[in-house]
Amino acid sequence: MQADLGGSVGDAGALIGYTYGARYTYTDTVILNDNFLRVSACADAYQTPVTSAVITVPATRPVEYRDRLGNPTHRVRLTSPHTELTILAVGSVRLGSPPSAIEEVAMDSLRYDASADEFLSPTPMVHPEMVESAAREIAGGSTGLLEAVDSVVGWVYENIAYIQGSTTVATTAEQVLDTRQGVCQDMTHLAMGMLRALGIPVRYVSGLMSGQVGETHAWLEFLHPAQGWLPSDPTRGQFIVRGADLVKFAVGRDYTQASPVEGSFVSKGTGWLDVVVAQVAPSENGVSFDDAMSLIENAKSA
Amino acid sequence: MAHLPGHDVATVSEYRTDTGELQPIYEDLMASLDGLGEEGMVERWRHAKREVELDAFSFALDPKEFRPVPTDWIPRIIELDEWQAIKAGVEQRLKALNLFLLDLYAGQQEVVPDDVVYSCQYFYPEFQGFRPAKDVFVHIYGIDLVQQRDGRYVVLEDNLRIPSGITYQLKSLEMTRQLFPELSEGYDIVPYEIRDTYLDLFTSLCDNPEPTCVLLTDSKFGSAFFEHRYLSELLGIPLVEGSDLYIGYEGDVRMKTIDGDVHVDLIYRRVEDLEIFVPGLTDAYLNGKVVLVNGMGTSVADDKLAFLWVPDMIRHYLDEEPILDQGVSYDLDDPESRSYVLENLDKMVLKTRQGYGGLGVFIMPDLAGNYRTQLARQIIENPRAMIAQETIEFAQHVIFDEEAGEYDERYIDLRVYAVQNGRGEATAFPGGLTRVSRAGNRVTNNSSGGLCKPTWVVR
Repeated sequence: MQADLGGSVGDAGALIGYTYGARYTYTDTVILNDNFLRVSACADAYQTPVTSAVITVPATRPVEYRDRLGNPTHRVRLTSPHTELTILAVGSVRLGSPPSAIEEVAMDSLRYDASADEFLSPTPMVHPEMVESAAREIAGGSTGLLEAVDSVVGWVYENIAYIQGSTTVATTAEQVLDTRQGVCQDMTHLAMGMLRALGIPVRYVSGLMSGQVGETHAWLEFLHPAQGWLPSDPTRGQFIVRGADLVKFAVGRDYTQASPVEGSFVSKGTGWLDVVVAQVAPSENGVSFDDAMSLIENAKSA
Repeated sequence: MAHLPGHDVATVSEYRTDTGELQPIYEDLMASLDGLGEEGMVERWRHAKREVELDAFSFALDPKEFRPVPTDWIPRIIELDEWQAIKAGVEQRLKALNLFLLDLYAGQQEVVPDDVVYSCQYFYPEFQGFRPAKDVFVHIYGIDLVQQRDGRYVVLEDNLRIPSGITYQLKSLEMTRQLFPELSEGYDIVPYEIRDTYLDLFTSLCDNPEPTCVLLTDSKFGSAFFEHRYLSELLGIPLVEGSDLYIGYEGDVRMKTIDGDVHVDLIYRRVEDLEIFVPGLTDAYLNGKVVLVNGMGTSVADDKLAFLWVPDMIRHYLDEEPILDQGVSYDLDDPESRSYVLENLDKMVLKTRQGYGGLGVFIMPDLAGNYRTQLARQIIENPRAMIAQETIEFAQHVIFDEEAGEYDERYIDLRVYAVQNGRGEATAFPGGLTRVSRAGNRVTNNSSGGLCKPTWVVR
């Protein structure tokens, strides 16, 4: 089987700019706000980061590092009183050259070393044993790795209704199978659970997708014994998509390790994510923080 | 006369030899106890308990309930040469931890992986570039040790925030001297002095040669209020609550007094969330307007995961080999360590990464099977939430159970306290607080409901 390799915004070597902005609003003064941000492009065969910058308003001094899975991470901790927190990330990546052909591998010859185990094991939101019987029904007859991924991803795309607000950030893969609805995170988790149940190591990917302005995107990567981690997007029913329309931020064993913003705050009030903006577009000049901030202001007034 | 429990060769004992004989150093002590007789001991133990209550010598587990510190009065004895090795190891460790913290915040530390330190709840990114007064973050250090079968002490944990309990050691020594004078006959006990050392520490950290120092407590209802009051009286410094302090126009810390407000140079803080107790204190601290003992941001180095790298800190910063061994620990986020721990789960102790006071500690050999399955599952799903340590067979000691009128044996640990002053000198106080587990349990923390015991270092 020959996979469709996608590709829409630019060709290999093209420079793609991205913007991510989020504004959190609180009902009362926040005295401590501690967050891990995974909102900078990471490096892989498909993209090489060229520029990247992250700021917050109010400003603080972040620390930038790579977590164990290699994700660029910013830790920002605010200790001065505030009632609003804005996070802005801008940057650019140069598109790489994805493999032009992907070889089929027989399911019964799949072999991985021990380092793949953690991507087969249960995680807080993906419990493979809970979706195993569905996975066997859908793809149990697949003799090849690519065929199995295609069956699972295709099934999720056709059978899970994309409905905003139908799930929460805590919804598990088995709940999605049960209710048959969700958003990109949920469809990714369900497909991940099924693939893990079939013995295929798989990880969660978080990033941005062009044309999707008000949210981040999620897809998955499965481990090909010879060709490494390959992308697949259950939300769009696309097997091995990873064209220029995606910018990858982070990978994780599930959402809990790869979410764009993970944090906690201390306040008498409550808080919520008020505005999210996301943009991916060809750009020779990159994106400025001013541009990013006006995106947020426009989104807010709209 | 009460009889010692039968000796089990499987038990590691601190006061007996492998064959069950008394260690020679304990012979005089046990003879003195025999001299009291069983009824005499019961009587003296009851009397001591009343004295403890009258002195309000307490550690509250529940703020509504007065709970005197349960104490066993049979001292634990450490011989001087044995103590010298512990002391050198403790001081070495404290110096290395301070150098690590300074390098982490004001330098470019490369000993502990970034992912470990920066993911720690108690790492404060906004402190980068900050240097505390005289470059010392941890001034008062508490280290938890246990004795292994071969007699060597091994480190279980470091406490770099607000280690508590030093007054229990002081108080139990003082009460043993008063209430059980015959026990010390024949022993030359090294005195336990902290007042001058603490006051010298405070002065060494301040530019003002006669600094105004205060002890900040959470409230009269806090679990360690006895200790806070005792220390403020011993040191002769005011005991204040958060509402007694505020940040003045010049950004310094001021204390309200009936004679007008005064500038504060140093806060010996015994509370965790300083910013909640005194809004603006973090900025005053970062701007060098006030000295905090201990400093803020220290707990990134007593994180249970960062613990794995303390021996490397000693090698890197001091160019020395660690004097004290430490419990063999595993980072469960490392796939190889994780599979090793899962295969050997029955031999492990699991600790919640950021737990303290004995909470979130699971001793697998003592747990039922269904707990094991649940914990194994948690390790697989969320490996960074816990660390694993090899279970250590550590020593038991004898206590006198006055209700049963007989001796019993319990696990003990040793919390040693040490200070590092503004001249860079680290000094461990002789001995420390011996904490005794509850019957049938190996957890010894006071906040887990154990006893404490006077500890003697003898010449």
